[in-house]
Amino acid sequence: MKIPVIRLAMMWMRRLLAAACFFALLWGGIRPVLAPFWGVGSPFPTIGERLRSERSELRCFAEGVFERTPQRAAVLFLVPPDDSDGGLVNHRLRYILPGRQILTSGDAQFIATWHRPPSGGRRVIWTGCGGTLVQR
Amino acid sequence: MMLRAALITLLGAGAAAAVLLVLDLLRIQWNAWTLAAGLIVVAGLLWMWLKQTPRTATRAPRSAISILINCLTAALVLAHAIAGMRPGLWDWTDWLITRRDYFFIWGHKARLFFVEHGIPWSFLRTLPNDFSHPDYPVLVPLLFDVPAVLTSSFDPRVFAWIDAALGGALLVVAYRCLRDELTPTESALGTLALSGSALLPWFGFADGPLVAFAASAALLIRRALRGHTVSLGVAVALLSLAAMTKNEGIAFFVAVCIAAPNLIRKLWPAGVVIGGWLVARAAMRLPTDVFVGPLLPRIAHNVAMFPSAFANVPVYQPIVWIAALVAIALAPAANLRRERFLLTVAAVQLCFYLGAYAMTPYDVRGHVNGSWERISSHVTLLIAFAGLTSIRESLRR
Repeated sequence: MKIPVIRLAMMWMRRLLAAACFFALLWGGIRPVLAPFWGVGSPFPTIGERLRSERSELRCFAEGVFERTPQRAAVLFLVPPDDSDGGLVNHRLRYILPGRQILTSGDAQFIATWHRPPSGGRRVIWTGCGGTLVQR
Repeated sequence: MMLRAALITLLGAGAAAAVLLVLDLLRIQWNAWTLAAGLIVVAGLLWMWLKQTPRTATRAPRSAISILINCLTAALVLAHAIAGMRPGLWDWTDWLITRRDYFFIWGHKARLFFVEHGIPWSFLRTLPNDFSHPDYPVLVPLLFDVPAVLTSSFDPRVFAWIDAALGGALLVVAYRCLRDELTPTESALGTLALSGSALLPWFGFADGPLVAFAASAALLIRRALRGHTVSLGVAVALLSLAAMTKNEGIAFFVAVCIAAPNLIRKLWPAGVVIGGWLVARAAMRLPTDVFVGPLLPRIAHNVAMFPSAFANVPVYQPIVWIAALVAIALAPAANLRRERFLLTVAAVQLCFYLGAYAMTPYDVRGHVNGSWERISSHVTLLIAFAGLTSIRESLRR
């Protein structure tokens, strides 16, 4: 008599656990899809308005550089250290300037300076959006 | 009907990207007309395939409640697409770390190809490997370029719809596979529970398409292994597409071969595609970083860092992992025997990832922190699927 009772209890326990697992799977499965609407899960923090405005200006300048440089041109892009994204600004800029070689050090045929004094002794191609593009 | 629509979505996406690749190889400039002509050819081929494929009959009529649950799942797919159109995701001025891979790799390549009306292979070679990954296969950027070339404008928000369409197609495949073993209502509930594993939050990354192609292939192969009449050709095509999505897709093919060694002879076309890409990659000298420098000292150093690297980084959907693994543990022998294929694929794939972390030339803690949650999502659906069938078995006993 004792064994069937234990077996029955174990069976019910297993079913209970299985049901709990199912509800956990259901909750865990639906939650990330709805998270963007609830404001939970993976948050997407936004930057401050000042930074956004500055980077919009950098984007505007980069788009101007893209329009004024030929395909495959090497462009030395000089920005203030605070705007260098920890040294990854060249990767950021590649998205805006596809097909251009973006350098952050060394020398290149084109030099784009943004929020910094332009390189002297070179032909100025364009000034705008807070920056200057010069050609060697 | 829905399964065929899902397979057409998955195969059609791959074929559309392939059209751009073929146009590039034939040196035909991309524009809406040349692409549309190629897409018409693809549509014709898919139509011929549809006519040749027999329709699979559903065993039991669907209940009203299962239809309602399936509508809920469809609403989640729609919600996913809408969530992916949030402007913040695609705003270049938000320099979010979580969005780096879009701007550094996938979105950059898609924009580059779009602007150049082709694939500048020699220029790819000049990109640094640290974040640009020129060695990654090009299917995803090409797929993103399909709507851009057709409309002559590059709007990344469209990528959210591509992600959602592929994720939705995977859910349909999962529903069909669950229906083989469960009732319509149980299958619909199971599919709803799988929605988070198929609809990944990394919009514009290659992980969503990778999971859609790879998991669909694995589920179809599981179906074949369980005696259902399934065309392995579709699974092989999906495996090829997964391999052309990311390097992890190539690892997934190897994992499938290890998990189902008796099928290796039938999977060879995917191996040919992968071999072709690896030869082309080597010929074009597209740099890869995992194997550079002295390996053994690096492996010893990185493996020693594993405990601290993985200490605070969860897998994707930890609740789902825990629930699925507990469910499998309720009757381990039977569940492991039934789900041997999916669980072996997942385990081998995770071993490959651990191997890649062991060999990484970068700071292993940073590498793990930046990618583990995302790459563990590649096998979450397989684990969750095994958990669902295990739950059903436990409730039946």
